[in-house]
Formats: sequence, structure tokens, C-alpha cells
Amino acid sequence: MGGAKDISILSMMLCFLLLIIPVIIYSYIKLPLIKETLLSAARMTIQLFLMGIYLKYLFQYDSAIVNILWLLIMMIVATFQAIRRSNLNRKVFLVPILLSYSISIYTITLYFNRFVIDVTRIFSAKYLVVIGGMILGNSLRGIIISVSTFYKDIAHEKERYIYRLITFGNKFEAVLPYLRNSIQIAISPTIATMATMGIVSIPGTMTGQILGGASPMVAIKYQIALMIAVFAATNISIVLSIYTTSRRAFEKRGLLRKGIVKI
Amino acid sequence: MKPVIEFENVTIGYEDRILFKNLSFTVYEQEVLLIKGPSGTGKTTILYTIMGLLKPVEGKVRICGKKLSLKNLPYIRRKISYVPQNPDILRENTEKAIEEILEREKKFERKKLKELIDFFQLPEETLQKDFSELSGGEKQRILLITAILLDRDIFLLDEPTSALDEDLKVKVADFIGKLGKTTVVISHDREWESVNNIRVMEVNNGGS
Ligand SMILES: Nc1ncnc2c1ncn2[C@@H]1O[C@H](COP(=O)(O)OP(=O)(O)O)[C@@H](O)[C@H]1O
Ligand SMILES: [Mg+2]
Repeated sequence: MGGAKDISILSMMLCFLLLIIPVIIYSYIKLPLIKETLLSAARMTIQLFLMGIYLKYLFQYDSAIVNILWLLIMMIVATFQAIRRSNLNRKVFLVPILLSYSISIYTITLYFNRFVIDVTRIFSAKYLVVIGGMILGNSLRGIIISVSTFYKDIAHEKERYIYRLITFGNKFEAVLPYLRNSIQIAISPTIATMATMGIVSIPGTMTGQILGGASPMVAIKYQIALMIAVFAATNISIVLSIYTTSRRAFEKRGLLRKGIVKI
Repeated sequence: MKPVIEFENVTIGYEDRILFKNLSFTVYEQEVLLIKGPSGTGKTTILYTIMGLLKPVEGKVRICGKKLSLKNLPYIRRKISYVPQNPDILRENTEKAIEEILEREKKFERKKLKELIDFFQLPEETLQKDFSELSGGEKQRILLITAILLDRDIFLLDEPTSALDEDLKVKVADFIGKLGKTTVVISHDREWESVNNIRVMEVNNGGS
């Protein structure tokens, strides 16, 4: 691969110049998002440059253990932030979600590297950290939405849940509609994305690859494979997360513990 | 007469406050107990305790002669039909929802269902509608009919007639009274008091 054409600092600045347009619009219609937009753009820039730096070192160093740990750190930070922004109780949910998330991400990423891309060095940074990082970033949103929908709905519909618990006589059947709904809500957008993919827009990973010199056919195959990997990882994480959190979230007698979700 | 629901000096409440202290009562087989009292006193909480959802702070509760231990809960719950205070319980097609519940115990009989629909003056098309489209009173009657067809030993009914017209309140109370199930019903409706052999328990603030 020849690699993509580099972008000079001046060109980068010309790119940032484009942000002036939304800023003018926001100030004109008094939408209080200017500060947030600029702050987020600045954060993105700094974070990605830092990532560029650490990826460079990870690639150079390329130790399996470091890579595995690095992926874990990414997951810990991501889960921590996502739970803080959600309505889930951190004490109850952090550990089980993190556990489910890591099992799912490691399994899918290693499977992907070994059997789909067919590399022998499945723990190398280029594959483990880059692909794992991409899968974990794209599945977390769905996991958090799913878990919080699940518990929020049960808390909201206390009497319906109790009715099912008594009438069906077991917890699995009592929570089944909530499980279905929470998966559906979290996963539907992804399904919709798959169905429309390739009709109009060109997905981000493909753009990167084609600019990086890959042929469109190769880029397409990667896009499809990654899409499916993200989909599988999200589903596995959701089911594992709900299973592992339920042990702490419910009392032994079947009711949801208090303070589990903010409603 | 066999005692089916026994409360002996039971104290119940939530972390922040005690609702009843030393509550004692017994409901015998086939008896109907009516619980009356202002809202917020803890009537629903009594039903939750019977269903084993809440552990009493103190005292003994026995259902069908068994303690409310975790081990006995599945057995006890299988004996209970519950009609909640908020009837917004089923989803989508009404008949399918009823069938799903009854079929698990092989108790779904379309003919019997139609008869009860007719008896409780529900329009024939009710079964084909989405449960969410039904009125509050229609939902209550559907849940009662489901409980009747489920045919379990103990009925726990939480304000099951609150949204019904007077003549229907009479009809439901009368029907449940003659059904011969061990029943605890919470209601403000006077129609229940004229049921034969009904026992009334008044609860009020401060507990009893
Ligand atoms: N899960 C709960 N935690 C704390 N308090 C509760 C809970 N559920 C109900 N309560 C309170 O207990 C009291 C009794 O509630 P409830 O049994 O529903 O009363 P009733 O059915 O007589 O109207 C109410 O003041 C209610 O706010
Ligand atoms: Mg109540």
C-alpha cells in the first residue's frame, strides 16, 4: 500500500475554517451550542493526535500483552464514561457490563483476526488494537441503551412485571418482553444501517481504506466483515450484560432493587 | 375449614417506614376477604407480601401451610391469580395475549372464554382488538376473566372493579363470591360488601 496522501498543517487549518459556518448559524439563531462544538472539536483533535502518537509506539513495540492490556484500558475508559452518562447505577453495573463487554470484544476480535482476515499474529497491534478498538467503539452505545432500557422499563411497569412473575411463575418469562424490547431498541438502528449501506453514502472505514490505497473491492469486503463483527459483538455483549447484571439488579424474591436506574 | 393465608403478628413496610405492625388475619379455604381503607395505607403491600415479593420485617406468614421461604416461592406463586390495580398489563392482540397465558397450563378454551366475555358484557370484538385500545373497565374485565380461566386456588384482586359501572360491579362481586376460591380483594366499592359470607377487614393509617 502506498498510503494516503498526507494533509499539511495549513490544509488542516483550512479544514477547521469550515467550522465557522455552523458557528455563524448557531449565533444567528441563538442556539447555545457554539462553546460545546468548539470544545468538542478541540478535544477530538487532541485525543486523535494522542492516539496517533500512542498507536505509533504500539505498532513499533507490538507486544501481545501490551496490546491486550491496551484494549482492556480502552474498554474500561469507554464503559466508565458511557455508564456515567447513562441512568444506570455505576456501583451495580460497571463490573458486570465491563466483564461482558470484554468477553465479547476479545472473542469476536480474535475470531475475526484469525478466521476472517486470516492472520497468524492475531495479537499484533495492527489487528488487535485497531480492529478491536473499532468494534468496541461501535458496540458500546447499543449495550448501554439496551441495558438501561431493560431496567427502566421493568421499573416503570412494576405491576406488569409482577403480574408476569406470578402468572408465568419464573423470572425468565417475566422479563422476556423487556429483553426483546431492549435488544430491538438497541439493535434496530444497526439493522437499518446495514440495509441502506451502499445505497448512497460511502462508509467511513471504506473512505479511509480507499484513500489508503486499497482497491474498492477489498475495501468493500472489509466494510461488510466489520459491520457483521460489530453486530455480533453488540448482541453478545447485550445478552451477557443483562444476564450478569440481573444477578445484582434483582432481589432474590424477584423485585428490582431500588436505585438501580434513575427513572 | 383449612387456613390458606395466615398472617401472625406481621410487621411489614419499606426501608423508610413501617406500614403495619402486628397484623394478624387468616383467610380460610374458599373464603373471600375484603380489605378496605384509605389509599396509601398499604393494602397493595399486603398482597405483595402474600405473593412473597416482600419479606415481612417480623412475624409469620404462611400460604397453603407453607412458609414464604425462597424455596417455597415457586410453589406458592403457582397457586395465585393476581389482578393488579393498574390493568394496563397485556400487549397487542387481546385474545392472543390471553391464550399465551392460559396455554402454558393447557387451560385455553375458546368457548369458555367467549361465554365469559358475553357474561361480563364485553363487546364481541373485544378479543380481536389490541389490549391497549380497550377502556379501563374492559381491561379489568379481561384480566378477571383470565384469572377465572386460569383457575388457580388463590385470587388476589387489587381494586378489580374500580372502573366498572355499578351493575357490573355487582355482577363481578357476585360471580367471584360464588366461585369458591380463596380470595383477597381490595376495593372501595360497596357492592362487594353484599357478597354472601364476605369478611371485611378495615385498615387505616397507623396500621392495625
Ligand atoms: N417500593 C416502595 N418503596 C417505598 N415505599 C413504598 C413502595 N411501594 C409503596 N410504598 C409506599 O407504601 C405506602 C403503601 O402503599 P400501597 O400498599 O400501594 O397502598 P394502598 O394500596 O393502600 O394504596 C404508600 O405510602 C406508598 O407510597
Ligand atoms: Mg393499592
